Amino acid sequence: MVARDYETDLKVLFPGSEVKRSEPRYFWVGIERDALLDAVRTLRDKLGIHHLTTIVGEDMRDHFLLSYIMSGEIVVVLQVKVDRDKPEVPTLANLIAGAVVYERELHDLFGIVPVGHPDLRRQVLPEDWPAGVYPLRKDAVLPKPTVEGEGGEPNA
Amino acid sequence: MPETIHLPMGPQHPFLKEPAKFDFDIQGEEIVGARMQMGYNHRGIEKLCEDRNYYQCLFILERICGICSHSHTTAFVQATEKLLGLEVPKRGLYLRTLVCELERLHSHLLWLGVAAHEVGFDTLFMLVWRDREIVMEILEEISGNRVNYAINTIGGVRRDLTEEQRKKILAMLEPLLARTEYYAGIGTNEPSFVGRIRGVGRMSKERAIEKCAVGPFGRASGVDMDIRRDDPYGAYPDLEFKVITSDECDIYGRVLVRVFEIVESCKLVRQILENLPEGEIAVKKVMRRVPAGAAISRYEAPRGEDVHWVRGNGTEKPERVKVRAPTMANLEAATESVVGALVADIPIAIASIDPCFSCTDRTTVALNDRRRGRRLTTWAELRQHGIDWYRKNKGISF
Repeated sequence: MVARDYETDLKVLFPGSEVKRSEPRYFWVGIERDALLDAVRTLRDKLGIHHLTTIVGEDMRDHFLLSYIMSGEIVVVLQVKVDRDKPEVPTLANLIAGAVVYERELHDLFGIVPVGHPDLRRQVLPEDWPAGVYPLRKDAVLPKPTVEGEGGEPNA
Repeated sequence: MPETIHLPMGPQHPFLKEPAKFDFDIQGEEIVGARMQMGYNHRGIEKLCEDRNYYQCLFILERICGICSHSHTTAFVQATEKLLGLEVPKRGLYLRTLVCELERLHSHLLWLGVAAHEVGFDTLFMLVWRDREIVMEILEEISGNRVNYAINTIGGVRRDLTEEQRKKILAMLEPLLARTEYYAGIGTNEPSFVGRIRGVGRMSKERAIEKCAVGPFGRASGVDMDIRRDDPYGAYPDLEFKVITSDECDIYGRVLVRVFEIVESCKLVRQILENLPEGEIAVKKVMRRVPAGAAISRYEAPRGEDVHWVRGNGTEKPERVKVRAPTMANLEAATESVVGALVADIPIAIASIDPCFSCTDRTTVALNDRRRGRRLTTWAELRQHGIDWYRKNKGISF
């Protein structure tokens, strides 16, 4: 069981945000985009929650919702809303080195730019995937497969 | 100062069965820089899940990976059960956990064999793989399948275990436990094996934490993290087991952690079978419509923390399914751990995280699409097509 009273700690550390508890170990905190870096630093330095499990991107139709799942003794999900017109978030690369792969993945699949990311190569999509098509956006128009069915036909 | 040479390897290469491109900078024999490029296996499973119902998703997610298929379905059904508020019967949880541990056993045995093979110790490879067959037979006995067991369903498991099967599996475990202890001895003491792996592929504890490494790879660098203990699920709250860690911080440490996890898993399987509760194996009635909301499920797969995120929207189909496989978390750290090693150590260094790129890239399945008149090609047709193609285009006759 979790001994420490994390709920009170979180409410003190994030005074302006709503802190929800879904299960004994799971806490959800909604924060502003500009407060992200401070929030991650606070969790890491004050509560010892330093493992970034992953970043989940979601297309909520009128905005993108990013959920930064931070885990230690408890799991804290930091939720950030991102504008569709300006899909940018500050990068976590300088705080947590492991974040680079997840941010690259977000950039691939949602077109969300982690500002200040050191190496924004493709992560999960193949090299020949068309630029500017972000498959996990709900309004994405996916390219037709270039080789239909049969396969093995000569290129020329 | 020797000249730095750029050495590209892959996407198809001699030491891994799955595609990934590595770029190494080498000075003489020493690696001074490494980068990795993925994405050759992406088939868009997360997108596919968006327009299928939860049961169809289960089948697709099972096929993310051929080795840790049960990990992905368990993580997914756990998240869905959280959304539905289902309480899975105890016997169902125990059976699910039983397959979890058997999967860890077969995965770690497979890995130990591959690791031995990568350093040219093929005797160990053959012995280990022979005994892995026992685990595969147990899995077949329980689920009917050697891979993709399809035992999970939302609300429990699909097949029960009879008393005869229980006894039979307990008997099969005895030789396995004795032999795994023997392999643990070889894997950690045999001088020719240890000589190749000790001090190679180093990853310090601090760096492993910064890079968010998970699973045996992290535990071998002293990162004491195991979801089975830290965020218990299934039957793990009732079970007793040790979390194996090591401070070796190299490939030797990774072997150490995995071989003792094999022994620990064998004991866990026995513990589960001896304490199997009576009762139902699954919830009888499960709603097909899943309420709106998001749920996270963490799972200790053989390779480390596997995470599924499921968002329901009140319909039969999920709004979003996100999969984060353990290899994804370990990739960057693994690439970094190669720096400082020799070119000849690349295969074992990369293999030491037990990489699974199809999980990381999230592959999909070949579907028999009748609507568009496409179908799967049989082996004979494919062979005939090849013969005809070469005859027509190259003038080669067979």
